[in-house]
Amino acid sequence: MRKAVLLSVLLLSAIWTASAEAQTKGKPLNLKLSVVSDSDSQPVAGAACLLTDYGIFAVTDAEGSSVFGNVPQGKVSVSVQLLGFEDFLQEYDFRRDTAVVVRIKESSLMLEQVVVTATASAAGSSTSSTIGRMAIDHLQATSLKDIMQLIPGQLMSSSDMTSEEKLTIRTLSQSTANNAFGTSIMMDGVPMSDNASLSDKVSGSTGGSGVDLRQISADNIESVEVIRGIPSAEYGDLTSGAVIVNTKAGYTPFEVRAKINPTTLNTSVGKGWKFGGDAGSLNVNADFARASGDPRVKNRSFDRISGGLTYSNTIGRIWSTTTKLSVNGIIDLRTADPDLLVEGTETGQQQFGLRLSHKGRISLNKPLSRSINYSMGFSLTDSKSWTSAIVSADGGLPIITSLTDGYCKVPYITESYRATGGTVSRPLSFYAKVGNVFTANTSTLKQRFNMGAEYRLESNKARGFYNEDDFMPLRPTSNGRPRPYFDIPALSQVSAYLEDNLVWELPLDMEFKLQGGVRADVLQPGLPEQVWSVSPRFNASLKLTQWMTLRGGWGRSNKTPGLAHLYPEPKYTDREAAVYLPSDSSKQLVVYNTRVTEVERNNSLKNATNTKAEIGADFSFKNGMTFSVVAYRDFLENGFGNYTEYSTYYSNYYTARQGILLDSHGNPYIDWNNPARVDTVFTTSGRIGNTRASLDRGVEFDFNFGQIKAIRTTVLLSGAFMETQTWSTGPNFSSPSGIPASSVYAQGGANTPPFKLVYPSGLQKDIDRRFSANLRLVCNIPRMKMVCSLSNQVIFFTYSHTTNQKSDPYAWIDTDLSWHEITPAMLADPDYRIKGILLSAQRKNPADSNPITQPPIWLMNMRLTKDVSKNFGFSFYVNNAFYYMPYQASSYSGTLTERNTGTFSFGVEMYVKI
Amino acid sequence: MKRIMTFAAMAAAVLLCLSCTRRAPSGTDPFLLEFVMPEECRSGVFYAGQAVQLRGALDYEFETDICGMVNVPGIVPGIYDITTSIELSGKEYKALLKEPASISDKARVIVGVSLMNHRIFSAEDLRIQLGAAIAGGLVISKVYYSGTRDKMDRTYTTDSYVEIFNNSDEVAYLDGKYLGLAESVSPAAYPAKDNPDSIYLRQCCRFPGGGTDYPVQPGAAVVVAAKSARNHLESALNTVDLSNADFEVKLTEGSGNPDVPMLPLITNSTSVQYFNLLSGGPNAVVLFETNEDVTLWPQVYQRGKTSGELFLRIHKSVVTDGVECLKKPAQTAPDVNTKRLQQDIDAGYAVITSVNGYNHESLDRKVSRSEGGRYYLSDTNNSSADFVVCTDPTPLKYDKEGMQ
Repeated sequence: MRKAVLLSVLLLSAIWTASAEAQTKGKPLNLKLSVVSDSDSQPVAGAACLLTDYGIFAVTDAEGSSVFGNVPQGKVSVSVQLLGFEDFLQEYDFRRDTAVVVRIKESSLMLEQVVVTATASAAGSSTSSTIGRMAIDHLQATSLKDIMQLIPGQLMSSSDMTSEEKLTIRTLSQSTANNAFGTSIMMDGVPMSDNASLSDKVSGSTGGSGVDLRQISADNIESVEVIRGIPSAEYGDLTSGAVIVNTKAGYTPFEVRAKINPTTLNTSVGKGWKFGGDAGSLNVNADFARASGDPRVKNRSFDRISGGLTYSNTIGRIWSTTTKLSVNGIIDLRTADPDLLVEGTETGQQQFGLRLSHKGRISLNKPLSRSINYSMGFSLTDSKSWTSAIVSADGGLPIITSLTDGYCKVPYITESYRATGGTVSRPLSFYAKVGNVFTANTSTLKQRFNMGAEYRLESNKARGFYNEDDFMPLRPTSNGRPRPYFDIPALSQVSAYLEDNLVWELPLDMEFKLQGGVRADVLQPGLPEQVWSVSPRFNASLKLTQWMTLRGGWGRSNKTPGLAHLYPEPKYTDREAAVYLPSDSSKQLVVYNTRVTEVERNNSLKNATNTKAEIGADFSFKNGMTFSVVAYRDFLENGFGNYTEYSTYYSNYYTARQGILLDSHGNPYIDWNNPARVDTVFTTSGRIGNTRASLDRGVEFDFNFGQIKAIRTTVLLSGAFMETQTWSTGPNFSSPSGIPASSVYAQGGANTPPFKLVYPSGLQKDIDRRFSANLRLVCNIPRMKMVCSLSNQVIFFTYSHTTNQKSDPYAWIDTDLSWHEITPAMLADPDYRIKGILLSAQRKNPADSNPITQPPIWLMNMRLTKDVSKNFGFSFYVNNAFYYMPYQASSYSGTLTERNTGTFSFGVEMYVKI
Repeated sequence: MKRIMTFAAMAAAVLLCLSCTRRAPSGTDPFLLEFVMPEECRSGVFYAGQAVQLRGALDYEFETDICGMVNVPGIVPGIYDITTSIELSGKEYKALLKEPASISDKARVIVGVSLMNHRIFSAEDLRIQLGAAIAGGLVISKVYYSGTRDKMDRTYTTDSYVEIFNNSDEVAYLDGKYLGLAESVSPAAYPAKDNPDSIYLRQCCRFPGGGTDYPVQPGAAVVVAAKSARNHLESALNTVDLSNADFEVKLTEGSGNPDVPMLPLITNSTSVQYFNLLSGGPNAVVLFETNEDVTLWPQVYQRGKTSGELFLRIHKSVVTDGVECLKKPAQTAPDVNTKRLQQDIDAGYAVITSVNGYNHESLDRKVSRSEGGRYYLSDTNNSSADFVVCTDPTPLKYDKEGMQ
């Protein structure tokens, strides 16, 4: 690892020294771009113009012009972007001072080519898909999760928003926590982090398991880029990938949208103003969504209200800024069922969030600093969940509430009671990043250096899990102790990155591109729990001919643990010490022994590291056809998971025969030194370790067959063959079997075995495979201002298998935690016993379960978007248009089960633009 | 008026014709059922004049003729359970045997058969061999596992119990006898249809005593609190007072109710410290007797597994009484393929009316006769016939509705 870092630093500095020298050759140029609207040839002000190879940018003035100075000679890609217009990207070869007129097209269904699908990234950079506003409109997405179905290999889905929506990349695993937690979501340059979330025992959500996407309204999104491959070193604190979300900023017409389908109602209003002169522009939006997962179950609802205020301005033509304030409120209620209210159960959840972000870019255009970009963000979320329920005593319930070690007399109740409790969580985050871009060029070698530093601070100081009445707890068990979050330290993280984007023009029109970078992250610097990592990343491509490019990449990405992983809740182990329940209930005595196990701060938890490797080929033909195939392998070797470790302690047990005495009034008391039994108890801590591993691999393909002109239909085919394997790498302990029920070990219950056996880990693997493809036909009729698409998804097969290999214990730990090896000779002896227990009975030889495969199944969705006039339009969709829900049997069971369930839905969206 | 009459007559005729187009399902042709007395009986002894039940597509009841035969006139084709039994005294039964046997005169002998899921689709004569079993003195007379709801309308399951009744005229002793609960995993790990000789127990309790310490008088019963020997009426309305139970299942003497003796669990496939009757079933409860140390008997995992619960395997010959309580599925009748007890231990099954329980239903053995306040309970080794569902779960009570 260190060698790789050293090598990359040396390589970068060597290239830089060589190229900086060469850079002085050739006179730098001045360029002038005049941006005009394609429809009326009027100049367009406020368009962001970027020379992508050099990172130089400028914003057009009122005359639509922008000027670049100090531009190296040679080929350069010019990108022009403006809200409401199609992105412009073209390569020029500048040899002298030049003025160029760029015509940009207004986004409209009247365009010859309308993109309502995801667009693949250019070679030489991360493998990603970009989804534009048109595609989001056509999809009628209500949340960010809906948009993901355009990514190759992802299945089409209808979201119902009544449960948490988390985003996973390139995985088939059911346990998605590590993948979703390792997916970075960048909103306007500022990450939306889940690092400070903690498990909510009331709503059941798990801390550190990914951002809930329902809080992001889709109507205010301008574009989304999903990086599935090896991300640029600029993006950190991730393992599986990154999702870059840009929201609307700048001038937009007044726009009202309403989406209605049987489960969701979503309306939004937005408007952007341009103040003229140097006053900048303001964009305002508000959104309301109400979802009920099943129209028949009205007591379960989800309400979201969100709004945003975005101010953007360019100061002195070189400093462009965007400042955004957004608020959102989520109310997730499960209350209104009158039957449940009568019964006494009430559950609800609400969340209010505030985000303030500011990003800017200063075009210095100096040799060692072409532009400086920075971003800052602050977010605060206040989330509450509460429940009120009747706790069942079921004839006898000890109420154990002790928060300290020791024996405690506890109330023993026989009547159910009403309890109220909840969780208050207040994740707060601050983020700051500054980056610098400069270039170094020779006639054949162009380099763009990108470097920067980042700081994050995240905390969650709140009331945490609480009971209204601590003596009437919501959960009178070990897992029900209150947990305030005030003592949990804040997380701070410092990162730095350096990256070189190199383009080397080779003879015969060939071209080699390399994006090589390295990133270093340190979490909790200076504290005992400090975690650090270095992530080298490379993406390379070789253009062999005009129509064929090969590409490949390798990189490591690291996800730092969150609060939930670093600071787990203390573990309470409560053991019965005396249960004296005579028929006269006034003379009862119930005593429990509580043991509190805390995880120490220096807990050797490391970052989760994902090593990604990719190889692929892109073919691009003059007739517009593009074919792209990429094979990938993502290996997450140390994801976060529970880590089993034992400590042992003695716990006494007192009975009416020994240890419980009666005073002169017949009241029982305990003779502490005279227990009837002393148990040696094994107890675990709540430690989280790097114990989950996963291997995702597969082949993704994305084919665009171009437009069949006669029927104005574009044919696109995308899909993936995916495989995911997950397993645990943590210690694998097991209690021995065959403990006689009458022995002291069995009398103490499950946690008092004579010893624990240690088995090899990782032998049990969950393997899932899927091959799916989606054929999209997009028909675009500009004269009718209409676009219609048909998506045919076929899942050719799904496969799932849990391997359950035979395993023999290789060691055992005694009650004093001493470690003892088990040798093959001991295993071979059929009569060998450990503490009286037969060793040969501990050899596990389970029957391997059969793999389950499902037969092919198809699904067809139809969508239509039409602009009735310039001011009014609508979209309509029907998912599973043929209502195809066949009963099929899997290879494992002859039982017929209905498939494609929940896929049928339909809806309409209308919009008015003034 | 005339036209109306004509119209009405025509309409009636049309409707009559239509009604004729619906026919009852065609039955089988007549066939013979022959019941053959157990092999140890003398030749020339016939199972004469006894009631035979066929339950299936439709329910039928027939009576055997003097040769033990039934001439079935033709029934709706389908799958039928064929059951019949007769209870004889030991003296009566000995009179029928080829050779003398050591059966007490007062013993009760059940002669009968229960043929489950027999397919009758054509008229084939059937010869059915009857079996004989000596009914033990101690029988399981009540099993209460459904639980109830407490005063706050929460589920309440700690009031379950098993009642054991001395159905003989002699004092019986519980000392050293075993109370077992068959495995109840889903799907059934060891159903009787696949295991004709063995029963697999999840838990097994051994009654204490040296031989004569725990006598049960004729017509008397003992109550075993499965989970908690307390007066449950303090917490719920429709439940039982178990504060005077004879035994409480627990792991340690002196815990729980110190006034109630412990019935220790000697094998236990889980870590629960009580008799694990499930509130919705299935619960197959057996009473058995052996001189061997049962903890040395084989304990096995579920087939194909090498971890999880270890079930104690017992041979069915040691069982003196058993009650098969099946789980009631939501839509259908209980699945007899999941029975854990063989036909000769329990030819039928008992079942509560609720899927998940909590409806304070106990399964009570019916009273076959009573003499001067002394009850004799029905014991034909067929719980379908012997047991009745009672909504009053009170133990030691034999005059509940439906028990007579």
